Amino acid sequence: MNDRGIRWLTIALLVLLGSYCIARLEFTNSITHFIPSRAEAELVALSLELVESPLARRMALSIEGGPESAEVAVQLADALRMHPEVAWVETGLDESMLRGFYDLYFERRLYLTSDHPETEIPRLLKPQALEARAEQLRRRLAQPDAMLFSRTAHADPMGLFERILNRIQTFQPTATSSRTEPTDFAIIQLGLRSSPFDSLRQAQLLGDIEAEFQKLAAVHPTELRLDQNGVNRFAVAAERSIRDDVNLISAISISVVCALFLLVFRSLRQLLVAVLAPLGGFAFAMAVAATSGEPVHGITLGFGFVLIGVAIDYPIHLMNHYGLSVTDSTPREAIIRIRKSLLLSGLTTTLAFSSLAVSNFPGLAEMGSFGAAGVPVALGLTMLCLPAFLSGPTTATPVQRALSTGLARLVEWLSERRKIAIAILMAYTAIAATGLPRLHWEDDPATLMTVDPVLLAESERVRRRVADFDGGRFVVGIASDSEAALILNTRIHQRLRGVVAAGELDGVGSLHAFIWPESLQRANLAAFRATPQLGARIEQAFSRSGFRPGAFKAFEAAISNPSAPPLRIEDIAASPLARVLDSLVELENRWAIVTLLRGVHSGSAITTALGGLEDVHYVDQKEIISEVYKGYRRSTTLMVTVGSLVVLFVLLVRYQSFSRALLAFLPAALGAMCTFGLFGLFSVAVNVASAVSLLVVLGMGVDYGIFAVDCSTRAGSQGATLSSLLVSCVTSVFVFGVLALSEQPVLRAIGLTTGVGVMLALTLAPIALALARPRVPK
Amino acid sequence: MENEIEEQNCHIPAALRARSAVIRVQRSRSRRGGPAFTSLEALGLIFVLACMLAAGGQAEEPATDAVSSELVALMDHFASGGTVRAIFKETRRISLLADTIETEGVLYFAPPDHLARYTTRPGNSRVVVHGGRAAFRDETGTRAFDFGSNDIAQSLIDNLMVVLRGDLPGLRERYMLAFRSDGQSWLLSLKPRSKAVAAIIEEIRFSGAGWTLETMQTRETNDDISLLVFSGVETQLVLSQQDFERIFSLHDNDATSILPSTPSRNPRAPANP
Repeated sequence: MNDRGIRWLTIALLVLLGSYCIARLEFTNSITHFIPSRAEAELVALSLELVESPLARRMALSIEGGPESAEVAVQLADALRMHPEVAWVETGLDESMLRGFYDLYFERRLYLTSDHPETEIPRLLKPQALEARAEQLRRRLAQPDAMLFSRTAHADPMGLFERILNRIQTFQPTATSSRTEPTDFAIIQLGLRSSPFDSLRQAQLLGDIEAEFQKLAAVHPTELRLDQNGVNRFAVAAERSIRDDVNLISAISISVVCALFLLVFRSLRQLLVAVLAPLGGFAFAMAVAATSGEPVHGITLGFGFVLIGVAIDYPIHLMNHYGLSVTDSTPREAIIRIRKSLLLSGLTTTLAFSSLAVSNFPGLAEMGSFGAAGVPVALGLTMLCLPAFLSGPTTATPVQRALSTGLARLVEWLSERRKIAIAILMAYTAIAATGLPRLHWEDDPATLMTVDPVLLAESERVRRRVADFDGGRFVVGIASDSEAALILNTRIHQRLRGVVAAGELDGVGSLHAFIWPESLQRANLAAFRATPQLGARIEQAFSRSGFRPGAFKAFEAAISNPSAPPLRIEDIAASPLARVLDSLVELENRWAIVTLLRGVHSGSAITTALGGLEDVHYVDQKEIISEVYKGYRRSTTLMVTVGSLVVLFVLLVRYQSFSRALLAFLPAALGAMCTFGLFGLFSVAVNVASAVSLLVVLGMGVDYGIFAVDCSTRAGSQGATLSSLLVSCVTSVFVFGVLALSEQPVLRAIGLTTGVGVMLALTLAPIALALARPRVPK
Repeated sequence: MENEIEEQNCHIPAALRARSAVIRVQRSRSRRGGPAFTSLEALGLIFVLACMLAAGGQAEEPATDAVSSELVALMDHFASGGTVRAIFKETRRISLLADTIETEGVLYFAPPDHLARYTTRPGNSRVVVHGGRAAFRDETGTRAFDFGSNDIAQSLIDNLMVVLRGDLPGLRERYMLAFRSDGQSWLLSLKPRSKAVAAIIEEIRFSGAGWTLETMQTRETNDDISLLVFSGVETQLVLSQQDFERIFSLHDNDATSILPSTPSRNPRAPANP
């Protein structure tokens, strides 16, 4: 086939692969891809399911600044009810909700009296306790608000309904009664139809809320302030920040890489040709992933771009060697000259990625497989197809020649002064040795994302007013059905009450305040019925405080013949209080019941208190994710080490010489260690993203070493090889290294590790070359 | 002269309409949305609201009754009364009890919407109402709730305030008025327009002599009756900022602040006729 045919075939193949990927590929963002053990994965999956549940699909808005705030809140709520992204809106306890409370609970007050009906109810009905209650009721009837409950007192002399309401009031945020809080504010709560992480829809909603508020507030003389709280705000802000960073960084990268290719090759066409091979490798790896039928994780795709950075070395070597070759040489002849180095380089990089493919983290394994599939294809395209794109006559540019000559002289100079080369190696080793022990691994997930402090403070203000429960820490119980979940919830609540009493926890927000298991409800009624001569006891005790005889016949009638059955989940679901059931989440074949926590002073005290309760977990999302990151980072570091050893073994086999294999391995190993050594010395914390970035340093460093050692016996090509490495390194630094400018810690870690690592590996390449050159007799 | 006006079609004087508009704005501004579902302070209202809602719809009779010039003058006088302090004695007859409950104490009102009621016998307790929020404190503990966003609750809780600030349009909005006067003593009868409120309250009667309010009687539909008798009524009081805050604070003060120190009276204030 002629060059023209190869060119068209290559482009057609790339288009086909791309189309196939677009048609077949499914994405996932589940963090379970990055969890090693099944047990932990289940807990995190559960925690994440809850994050996606209606419990998290909500926003709270606070309007403050004057008495008009309530009016504007009502108008804003009305406008938001029409919004397609808004599932529901609440602006306070309206009549229907108050009526809902009464309907649900007043007739069921006898079912919901005590958690321990067998002991507590008999105690409440003792003559002395009844007399005390009668006195208390009389005092309450003397109060100005007596009208609020005098109508129900005849049917509820024990104040059982009020007990229920007091229990429900534990959901109330503590800060609303604080003296420091402003009082003129109004709250709107709304439910989201989509995931709070659907940044496209959420950005639209947030924009609409802001615009509608500005419109409504503009007609009022006082300056009103809108504060918002919701997971969606952070998701949208993070996405916006990353996008802004990536846009800026991409612009810088593309500009600089274009300028570099124009400077070195005097042609942008060369750049387009150079990216064909890594793009082909990327598309092939994606196609393999799509064929497996499993969804591909977003992070894996991101890693694919790393692949482009690694694989772009091969075309650069080809183009540089071809440009600097003698006249009448063809691109294929240039390939033949460097094919051994290319093949070995491709093999070692593939092996390095393959080592990651056996990780017990599914996400890491996927990334490893992705790289292992993509690198050989990129190499194959470079060797088989790219020469067809370079078939025209070419001459080296002055820059290529200057770089080649200059670097060849540098190698010459170093090889004549081996002690200097060795001294430089010793200096690198010393940096690694002194810095590595000081390296600080940062596994706190909070440090991986930059959160706008203003946004955080605003969110905190609203959270304090609405429900000051800790968003990231909760207790979750798993049960087979809803009744079992409620039984489990009662036990959880009893245990946590002990933790609150011990001062280790400020409060809980439990569904237990709203509903109990049917068995417990029936036990309550049975305890009332088991009290002998209850009517006479009440009559006797209350008459002493001046109550009329027979005033509480309705209470006796309710005990013998309750007018409502025990409260069921369906009753609440059909009432205006349905929202409280958000903490009862139906999963696949099981039910999760969540207890929210307020003011956790000791997580271990909670864990201890819950000990022995099966399928009950204290979830500290930060702690879990931190553990996950720690494991992920350790596994990555281990796999990088294993991959390095495999690469070293391959180099030993290839060179049949320990010293040459070691020199080929030197830029990768010492470059990576020295990078982390420098981070240790300069107190730059490293994280899981830094660990993954080491793979890039390893992959590219090995390439540098192999090319350096391979050309050590070919004096004429040393300048061309080193200049190829230099162009390749500068390209990588400007593709990845500029990520170090990002505000996002994850991107910054990738950029710093890759940028510093690749540059250090490059500086080691001439030293490896100089030391690998045969000694010239003096 | 005895004059009774009920349910008559009559135009409200323009001046009165203007005042009504002002007062409506004030009422609207005093509303407080309060935290939404998670703030359950309003749960205290459930008892009474549920009863009212069960009694029927919330349709209201339109405010078409006319008012006498004497009532307008009386209300104008109340409106200019400034801060008010009065000693009260309440007798409450409740159907559940064989005897009556009697309480005594001091009541403060500062226009437009601050009311504090300190009970000194039996026991010490206090109620402060301000900006649609009511806070109670007695030996059994403290209770607080928002009622400002709820028209029905508002009409139950701040009736006395509406009269003391001379808010005639506000009264007419909620009640059918009947006013009788013999030149010396007068009687203002209020019957709820809202059917929901009428399910609880049958009638509220204010009576007095000259410009002075003497009694407030509330008769509920279940025959419970409370009668507040006022004495030592002082108007145009001048409160220091410190006293004002102590008297009308919605927050939970310590026991010693239940009875505030006696404030001075404005020497320039006109004496009652």
